[in-house]
Parts: sequence; C-alpha cells; structure tokens
Amino acid sequence: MDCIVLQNVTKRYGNFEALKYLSFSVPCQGRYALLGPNGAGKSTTMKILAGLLRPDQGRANIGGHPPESKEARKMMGYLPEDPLPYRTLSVRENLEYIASLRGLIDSKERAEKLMDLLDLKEYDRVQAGKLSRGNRQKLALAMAIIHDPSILLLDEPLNYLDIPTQERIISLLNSMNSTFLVSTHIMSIATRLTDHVIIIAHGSVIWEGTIFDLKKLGEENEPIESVVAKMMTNVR
Amino acid sequence: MLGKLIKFIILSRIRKSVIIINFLIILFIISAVIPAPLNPSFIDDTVIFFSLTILIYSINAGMVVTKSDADFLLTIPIDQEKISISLYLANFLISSFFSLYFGIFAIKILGLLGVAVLFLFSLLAVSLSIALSNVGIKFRALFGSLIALWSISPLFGFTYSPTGMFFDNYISYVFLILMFISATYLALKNLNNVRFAVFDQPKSSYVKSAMSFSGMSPFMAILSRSLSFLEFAARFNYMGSSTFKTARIKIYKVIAVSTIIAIAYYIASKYVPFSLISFYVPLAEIIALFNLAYSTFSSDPLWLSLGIMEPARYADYYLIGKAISTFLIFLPIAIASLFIPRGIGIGISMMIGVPSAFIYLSAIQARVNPFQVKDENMPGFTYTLDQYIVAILSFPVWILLFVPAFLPTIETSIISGLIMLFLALPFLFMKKFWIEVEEKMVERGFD
Repeated sequence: MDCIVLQNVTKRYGNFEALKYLSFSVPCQGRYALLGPNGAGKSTTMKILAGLLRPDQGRANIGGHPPESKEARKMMGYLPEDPLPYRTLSVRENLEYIASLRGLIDSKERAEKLMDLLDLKEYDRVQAGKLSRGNRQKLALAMAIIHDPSILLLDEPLNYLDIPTQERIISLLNSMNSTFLVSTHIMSIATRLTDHVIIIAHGSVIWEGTIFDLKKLGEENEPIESVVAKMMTNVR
Repeated sequence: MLGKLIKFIILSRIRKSVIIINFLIILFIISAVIPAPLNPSFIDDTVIFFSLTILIYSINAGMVVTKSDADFLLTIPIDQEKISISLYLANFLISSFFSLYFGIFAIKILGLLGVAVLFLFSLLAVSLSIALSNVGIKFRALFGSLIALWSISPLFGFTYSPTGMFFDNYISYVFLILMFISATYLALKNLNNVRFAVFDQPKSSYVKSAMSFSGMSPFMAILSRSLSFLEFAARFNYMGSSTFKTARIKIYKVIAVSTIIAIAYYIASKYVPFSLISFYVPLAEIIALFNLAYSTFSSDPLWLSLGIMEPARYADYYLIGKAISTFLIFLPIAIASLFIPRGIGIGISMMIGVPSAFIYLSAIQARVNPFQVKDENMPGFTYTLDQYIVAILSFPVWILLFVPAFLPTIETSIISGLIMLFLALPFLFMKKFWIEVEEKMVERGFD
C-alpha cells in the first residue's frame, strides 16, 4: 500500500507554475528522498503533502486520506525548512504544548525523553526564540516526531546542525519505523536517510528509482553527486 | 550619493504605490482642512498629537535597520557616516510624511510657521528616538512621559511649553528649538551605536515560571496559554518605520496596568469634561485592539498551529482564548466607565463588543494581510496596499466602537455591541475561510 501519493498535481502562484502534473508515490515504510535544484518545487510539494497548501489540480493523499484531514494530520509529522517553534515558549513548554494539541496524555514524559535524546535538557527553560539556529532545529525536529508519526515529511532536516548532532539525528530517524519523504539538496543526506530517490525539476519528476540504480547511471568511480548534477543540468 | 542612499532606504521600506496613495489621501485632507473654518478642538487635537508623538518615539526608541540593511547596506564600501546620516534622514522623511495626516492642523492654525513646527517636531521625535535608544525602557518611559506632559500642559493652562505657540505664547518656539538642537546633538553622537546594535547577540532568556501543559486537552492548552501571558508581536515606531518584537508579558501584569489606567480615567472624569475624554476612550480602544489583532497570528508558527489540526478548529480555540484574555484586559476600564454617568454606554459596549471586535479584526487581518515575525529586530516588513483593505474592512468595527461615545445611551451601546457580535460570530463557523487563511499564510512565506 502507498502511504504518500501525489497524482497529477499542479500548483500555480499567479502566472508561475510551481508544479506541473506531478505524480509519485511512496509505499508504506518506504524511505524516499525528494531531490531537485533550487526552485524545482520541493517545498511546495512538501507543503501540499502537509496539508498547508491545496493543489490547483490533481490529488494528494496521506495514508489514504486527504492531507488536510484530521486523520492525515494525526498520522503525519512535518518538519518545514527553517522551522519556527513558538518563540516565546520555552523548549519544554513548546514540546508539552504541541503534545497537548495533539491530544497526547503523556506529554511530560515524551518531552522529557526527546530533550534527553537531543541534548536539549540544559535549554528546557530557554525561550525558543532565543535559541541558536542549531538548537532551534533540534527542538523543531523533536516537535515533529513527538507523536511517533507513521508518516514523516522532512524538509532539509539536518540544516544548521553540527556533525555529531547530524549523526545522532540520522541514527534516531533510522531507528523509526515511519514512512519517510525527505526533501534535501544534499545527496549525502539522501543516501544516509533513504534508499529511493525522486528527482524533480521545473515541477515535474525527471527520474525515480533506488539509490543503487542512480549510482549505476554514472561512470565507474563517479560520485553520485556528479550523476545527479548532470541530470539536473540536462533538464535546464 | 546621499540622496541615492536615502531614496534606496525609503523604497526598501515603503512601496511606491503606498507613497502615492498616501500622498493622494493627504492632498485630499489638506484640501478639506485648509478652507474649513478653524474649530477650537483642532488646537487641542494638535497638541495631543504632538505630545503623543514625543511619548511614543521616546518609548519605542531606536532606528529601523532591517536584516537586508545589516547584511548588505552596512557592508558596502561607502563612508559609514554617510550611511548613518542617510538612515537618520530617511527615518525623518518617512516620519514627517506620515505626520502630515495630523500635522496639517498645525499648518491650519499657524500658517506657514506651522510647516516649520511640524518638521521640527518630526526631527525632534526621530532624534529623541535615536538619542534614547541605548537606555533602559523605564528611563525612556519616564523621560518620554515628562516631555509629553510638558507638551500637553497648555491644555491645562500652562503655555510655557514646546506646544505653547498654539495658544499664542511665542516663547514656546525657543523651547522647541532648544529641545530640537539638544536631541539632534545627542542623536548624532549616538548614531553609530544604534546602527551596530543590530549585530548584538540575543541574550539567553530563561522562563522563570514555566507553564505545564501536560494532560490538557487541545482547547485547555490553547486557553491556558492565552490566559497566562500576552504575546505581543507588533512594535510600531509612530507613523512610518516599524520594527517588531515578540514579548511574553504575564496577563495579570497587563490587567494591573489597565486597572491603573482605569483608575486614572475615573479620576480624570471627575475633573475634565467627559465630552473631552469620551472621544479618546474608543480611540485608544481601537488602537489597542488593532495592535492586538495584528499580533494574533504574527507570532504563531503555521506548521504548529493551523497546520497541526483542522484550521477552523484551531482558529476557533485560539481566537476564543485570545478574545477572553483581551476582554479581561479591557474589563477594568469597562467597569470604571460604568461608574461615570455619561460613560455607561462606553462600558457596556466595551464589555459586549471587545471580544467580538477582537475576533473580527484578527480574522480580517489574517485573511487579507497576514504577517509573521520571523526574526526579532530584523523584519522583512514593508507597507502594502493590503493594509488599507484591512483598514476599510475594519471600518464597521471602528464606527460601532465610537457609537456609544456620541450616542451615550444604554440601548445604542447594547445594539452596537450585538452588531459586533453578529459580525464576529460567522468567522467561528466558516471552515473554508480558515483554509483560505492557511493558504494565504503559506503564500506569504509563513513557516
């Protein structure tokens, strides 16, 4: 069964067509990366799947439900690019507040666990607006996964994080049983977190397959980044 | 070069179309005010306007330096002093331009000298704002209040004040010029410090008495957040440049302040004719409500608010919580009004109308011109025509809040309050409206 589905989705901003009949699907438990050059439509795709934007045409589906539905929002965790937690709430308040909005009864325990896991304990009383970019990113990630979502949409999840934290988060995410769609510019992140790649450019899919297949497209010893770069350049 | 820089700074803050629209509106006001007979209330209003300008600029001290300014303008190879002077003059020009809305009365009263007075007051306000930018809020509030009190004193018969010229005391020009020279001298000395303050690292801000949301239902969590503290995101520099700061202020402290204001208002009503006060009560109410409504969604992250549950459900919970806290803030003033014979209508209207007016204004603001504060001190804010659409759509509420001041009967205040309720209620039931709000916010770049 497919947990994430986009069918012939078109989205326009005024005269600009951000997505053109975009179609792809991610099977349940699948780990897919969404790659593409700047302005390819990755963030628009993520926002449509998160239920924040409605497509002008076509259909999106999360776990068999429309993304804006209560059911989809319950099973989905979404981390936007450059996420902004509640600036005036402390780290702990942010986590407990979101857990309560999601109707979780053990919000205190979940907040505690995630703060321990992501090294946020020493900031638990600091207002989120005063955190460094890296700590803000960690808090946002904790807020996106506090309800153990079965479907996870992550837009540039490792932005602003130092290398040890990146490693910790990669292993945390890899330990989850969720369906993943990770939007990123960075191929190394895609290879560490996912096993399939969807490459989009100008709002349409230009290639889809496993990371193994992608590597095979290049010459011997050719870095995977170079293969992807060629693909993207050829589309322009 | 200086001219080019000033033009660049102004246009990076206000769109050309907005300048043109404002220019046309000001021309219209000039053509209406100048030929009209001189009404004595013009003098009182002008003095109040100048005094408020001084007070607000002193409290909101500082100069708007946007993130783009910090990243690009301040790093270009131009004499730094030129950039500072350009920022200062651009702030002055913007402030003078917008102050024409009320300042035109100064010209009406004093003729050509009024033009000089208007510009001197604008320069004084901008200079004070820069001169005071590095001192604490308490000193700024105290200093601003004293100067404002001195400026407003002609209304109480003491004309040896910077605004005494409106009451034919010409020595007041000397006061105004001396104040202007001292403030400008201090501002020029402080200019570089203000400009570079933008690079300061934010101080770590600990929450002393943290809240616990554990075990609460979504509605209770939202309600207790709304009733515990006021998140105020907008901070206006008067008439023009704006900066935004998010602040977490405990609601009981805000209610304590509104109680002090209510007592002062009650005492003032014993000594000043109520007809003079009655206009300013709904005016202050509108300004406060407008700012609160502007802040409603500006500090709310979209992906965690409208994006986490059905948008209409979140909006209902959130607006009801905020409307209750707004009601509590206004309650002392409403109660004080009930004890003033001609103020009963204002009191009743405030009690019935404030929560509804807040919901209506917040919904309109969210749909037409949503704005999110993403980074303190560095807003990506520019003036757009959408603000005028918000103003036009807010007009019914403005009128309804003013009705009890001019028709102070219990019936009119109940009717105006009920009309506001009927205007606001539909927003709590329109699912599609909040889906559209969510889309608009995404298109506006909300995170």
